[in-house]
Amino acid sequence: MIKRFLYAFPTLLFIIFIVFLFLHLVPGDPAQVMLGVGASEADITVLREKLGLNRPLIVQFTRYVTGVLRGDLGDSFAYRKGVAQVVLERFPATLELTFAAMILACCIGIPLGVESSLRQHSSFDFLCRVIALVGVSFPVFWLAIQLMYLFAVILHLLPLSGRGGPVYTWNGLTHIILPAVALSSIMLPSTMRLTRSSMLEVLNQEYITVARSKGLREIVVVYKHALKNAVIPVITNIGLQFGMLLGGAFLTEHVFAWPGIGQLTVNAIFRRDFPVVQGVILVTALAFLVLNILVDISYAYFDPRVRHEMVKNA
Amino acid sequence: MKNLRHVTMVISCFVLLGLLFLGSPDPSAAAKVGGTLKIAMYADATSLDPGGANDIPSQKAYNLLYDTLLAFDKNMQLVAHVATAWKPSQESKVWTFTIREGVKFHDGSLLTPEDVAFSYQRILEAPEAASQKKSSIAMIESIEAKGNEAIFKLKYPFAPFPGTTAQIQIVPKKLAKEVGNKSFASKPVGSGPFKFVEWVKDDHITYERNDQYWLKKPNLERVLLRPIPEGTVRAMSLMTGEVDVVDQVSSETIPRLQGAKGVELLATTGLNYYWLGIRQYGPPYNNLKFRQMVYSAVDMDGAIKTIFPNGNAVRAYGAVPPLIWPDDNKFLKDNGIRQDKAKAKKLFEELVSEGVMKQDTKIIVAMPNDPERLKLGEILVTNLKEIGVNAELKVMETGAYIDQAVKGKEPYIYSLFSVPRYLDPDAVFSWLFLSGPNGSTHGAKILGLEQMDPKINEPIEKARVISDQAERSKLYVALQRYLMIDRIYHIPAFYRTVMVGKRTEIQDLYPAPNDLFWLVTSFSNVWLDR
Repeated sequence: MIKRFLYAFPTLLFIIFIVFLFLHLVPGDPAQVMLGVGASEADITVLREKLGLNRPLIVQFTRYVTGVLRGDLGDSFAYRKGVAQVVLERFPATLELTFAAMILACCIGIPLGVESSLRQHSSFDFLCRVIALVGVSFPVFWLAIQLMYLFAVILHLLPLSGRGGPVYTWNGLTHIILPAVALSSIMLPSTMRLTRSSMLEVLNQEYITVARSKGLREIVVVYKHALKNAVIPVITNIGLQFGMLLGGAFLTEHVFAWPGIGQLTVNAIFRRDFPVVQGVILVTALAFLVLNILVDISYAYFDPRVRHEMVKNA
Repeated sequence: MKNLRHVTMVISCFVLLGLLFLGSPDPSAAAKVGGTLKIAMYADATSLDPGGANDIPSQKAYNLLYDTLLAFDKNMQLVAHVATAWKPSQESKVWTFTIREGVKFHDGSLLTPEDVAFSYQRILEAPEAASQKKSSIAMIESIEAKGNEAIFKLKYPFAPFPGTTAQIQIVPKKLAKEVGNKSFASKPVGSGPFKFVEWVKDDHITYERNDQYWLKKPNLERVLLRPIPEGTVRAMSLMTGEVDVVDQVSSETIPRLQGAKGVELLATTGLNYYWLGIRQYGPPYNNLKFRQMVYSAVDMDGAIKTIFPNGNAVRAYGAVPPLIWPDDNKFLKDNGIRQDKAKAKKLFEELVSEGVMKQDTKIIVAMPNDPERLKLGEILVTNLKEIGVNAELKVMETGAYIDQAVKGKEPYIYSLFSVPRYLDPDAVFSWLFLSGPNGSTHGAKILGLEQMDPKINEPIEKARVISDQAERSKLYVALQRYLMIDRIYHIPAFYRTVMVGKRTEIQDLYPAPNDLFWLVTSFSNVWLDR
């Protein structure tokens, strides 16, 4: 497990390098974008010097990496304050939305997948498959607008946009429902489909037949014996899909005016605010790596073989 | 533009009559005090320090907190504000502003000429802070606070100087120096109609009424600014009543909002000017006949109808937006080039036979990726193809587009828009066409006017030092005719209308041509009829 943590560092360094390189290769001078087309060349030169953009790329990169190692992500060009502060002011909102979508996708996707596998080839199974197909086909953006129109404009049941406060408050809870539902559409279909196929495989195993022949109740057979084994590929998928969710959150946040890093990143890209884009990607990559390590740890809970292996190695 | 004004006036009269007959509340009834006005704007501010940001959302947000020396009236004419009077020296090189007494900042301290001088100096001395503002006051050499006057000494005579002062907000010197720029930006203090309460980034900014406001006591108890980037969502927010006012009503949402209950749309002429430019960096683009061909080929009226089916833009014939003098639109319309496919085709054949271009020379039309200009580019390419020109559309991300336009030397047809930094024709012409030490050269550089043309530079520089408007007007009229008819450096496209959506219960709200929010001004004090 320690190895996994150590592997994360070169991965992060590689991400920083790629992002840094690509951002600086993209045409568009941050100083020019910040000051507008009306600014004089002298002002642009002064600002470029101030931002350190006149230095060779390798010098800029070295300074950035040493800064990151000291915990300094640099200063935002547009906001004129520390990137860490700019990102951390918004990151909780993104995490809140992403986890809400993930929980929603799991809470709906896994039971539907189980039921679908138990009623294979039934009309319920067919319906679930159609929903999965539709869910995966519709862009989040389109789905978000439709949800808003139905639940906020026509039915007046839920607020249209904004955060409304932390999720544990009533206002916050009502505000998160629509964006979380829209965002969960990225993960829900694959979770449902994977649970179904994994369950179908497990339900044909001999130990399930043995469990049934022992006279165990069906609910125990399905949810205790079958699902616990079937859920491992689903968990792996959740870890991988987290990245997709974060990517989807950028769009969802834009539509729902959710004050997370999605909106921040979109604006930062247009403003050529390189330090903010780099900071967001770094923090996002870190979150992705940590979650995947947590997913690996969770295997030990679901699979005794992994637990046994870990104990042996320790 | 006049037509638009007339139509707006007629519609307003009918609406007013309708309300009277229906027995609705009289709009001129006594204003109610209190309540929170919720405004949705298209993006969040980046800073509430007027020296720290100059983007439009930030201007909208900090404009509620601060005062300026002069302000605009409903017709965008300059009026006294914190300055009660202003006068130039004989050759317009020294400007003296008398500062109003008794104006207080939100922290209770008095606004003095020293604060005025400091507010300008911090912009002039910190190029990284807000250089777009710096370039509009770059002519200032020094500022002196003397008694109740602020005296501006300029590097060169500059008649339009008062116009620039409506863009520079006054901050308290003592506090800003004490706490530093970063802290000041997080707890901004001004002397404007509203005080800062809270800013949750990308979520909302809250303001409360400044009961001590010197101009008048604001009717609104609180104001809440919410960034909602998506146009459709802003429109839906207005329809559901989640917000009371929305800015930048997008073209596709206009029909829906027009039919929505409890929603009204307000429109006014904007200060923007969109044009097609032909970069002079090489043949055939630097050939006058080529430019005549492009102008004759393009169906600008049809393009505007297609891009703005709801009429939220008007055709431009010159570079000067309708709210800025001189108005020479009629002459430019009557004498400028009109769409004539046969003529365009003939010009193309002549260009080919004269060897200026080949039959298959690729003509690049480069556009940024905003929907309006993208459509304009598509229409232009289609029009050019119709007369046999091998035209191609090249689409670029806006940042890269500007970068290439400013730094590149490639000839192509492009489209940009400008909003004058101060309301004077000097701001229009100097930015777009002046090449010389006394003005920004970017407009001219983008266009490729690297060689100084005395026919352009001389009238601009001459008009700057003349204080008589009629005399200046003559110079600008002649210059604009030279640029648009004789040389065709620009093919004027359109002026976009500023459109604001509001709930019907919001009273005394006027749409501002400069795209800011006019909540408490000399002519208005917004209130909620709830």
